[in-house]
Amino acid sequence: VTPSGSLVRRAAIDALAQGLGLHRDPIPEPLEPTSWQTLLTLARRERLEGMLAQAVHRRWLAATETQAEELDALHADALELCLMLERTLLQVLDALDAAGVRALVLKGSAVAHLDYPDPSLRSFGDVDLLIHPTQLEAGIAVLDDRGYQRRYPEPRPGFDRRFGKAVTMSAAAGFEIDLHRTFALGPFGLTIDLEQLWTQPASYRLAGRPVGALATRHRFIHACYHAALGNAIPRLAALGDIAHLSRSDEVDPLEVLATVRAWRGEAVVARAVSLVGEILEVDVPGLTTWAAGYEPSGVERRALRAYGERASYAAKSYAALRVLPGFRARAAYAAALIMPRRSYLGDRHVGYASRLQRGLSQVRGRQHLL
Amino acid sequence: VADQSDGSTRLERMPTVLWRRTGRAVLLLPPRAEKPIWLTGTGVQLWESLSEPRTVDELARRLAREFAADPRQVVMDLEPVLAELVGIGAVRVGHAP
Repeated sequence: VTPSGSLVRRAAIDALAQGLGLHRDPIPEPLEPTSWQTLLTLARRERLEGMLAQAVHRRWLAATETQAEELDALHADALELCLMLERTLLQVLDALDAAGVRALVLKGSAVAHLDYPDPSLRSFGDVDLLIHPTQLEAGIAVLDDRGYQRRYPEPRPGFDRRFGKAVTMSAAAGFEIDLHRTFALGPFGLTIDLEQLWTQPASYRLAGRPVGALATRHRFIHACYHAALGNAIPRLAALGDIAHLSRSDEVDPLEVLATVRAWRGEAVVARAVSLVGEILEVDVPGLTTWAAGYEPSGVERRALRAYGERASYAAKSYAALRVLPGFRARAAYAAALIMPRRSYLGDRHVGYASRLQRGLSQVRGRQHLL
Repeated sequence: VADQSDGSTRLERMPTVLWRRTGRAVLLLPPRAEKPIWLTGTGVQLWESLSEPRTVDELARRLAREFAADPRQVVMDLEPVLAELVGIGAVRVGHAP
């Protein structure tokens, strides 16, 4: 990051924080052209177009007329994509409904509509749905009927339903849809009480139609899982989601802690809350002090490392073995990953032997780094 | 639209429209449109005003007040825009109860 780049990033973070109603010193002079272009690139990458546009509109961030027009155009591009994604979302929800498959919208559209004062403030770039594990295969079949195809075959029959995080479905002329079973791949995704997510879900209206979403507390926890276990460096918008959600009256820190304790996910939430504090310099009410003092156990530390900067699929899979209950589940999981069906391998690895070798070397490499 | 208006004709947003706003535009995606349609300039205020059912005269008065314009001129300017919004399924025409 160049000095100019770090200053621009700071400006973007402050714009996000002032959008939460927190005090940040305004930027009273327009940025010079190079820094402005850096800011636009960052806004696109971090999905901050709406928050930055709001900062300019409120005159917190000074901009020339041309700069304001450029930012508005960037914001409009992002929102056009959001609208097209929401149309796809509605079509898919209608098809799932018709087949009796229940679905809850994750992230994206749901957070934009439910957790921001105006959905135009939060742009997004994909469609994610939570499907009940028992209906995951039916959900895949519905999308299959509509011309979608799995991006990757299932390692072994029943793997998605028992152990998978999500199945990505893509259409030749359309967007990808992720059908999620749980919040994360690997150990932290396997200890979530998935039934809880389906009790008392939230709802919002999209094009006049009621659409289901996670309850507010679960949206907050999911935002934490996404930020802490997703990209090595989470998007600023993902951290902003945590900050926004944490200010909801419906997010009680004690209930959050009780829930994630039962899910063995305290370390995940502690990491996410710490990231919000370190990167955004924003407190998460009722959780910042707790997160600062949280000491992950040895098991949690090892599990968290599986999601680090150099995390591999194999390392997450290996870590997941530790949390699976019972020998049968562990054996089924290991067999699916070490000896998947030929169709799963495709042209990624030429055979079982090379896959085993590659998987083991990734795990070894991972452990070597520990 | 205005031709059909008998004083009780009211226009409002179709609830089936997906939409968003930027600082300078409103983006609409009605069910039949292939791509989002942009409203800019006074179109942004028009869309805001259509958040509840209003007659053409009410809409014109609101916009005339906001932009310090002649309401009769605003009615003339509004007609083709409203007709197009109705045509693409972004706005519906109803009657006061």
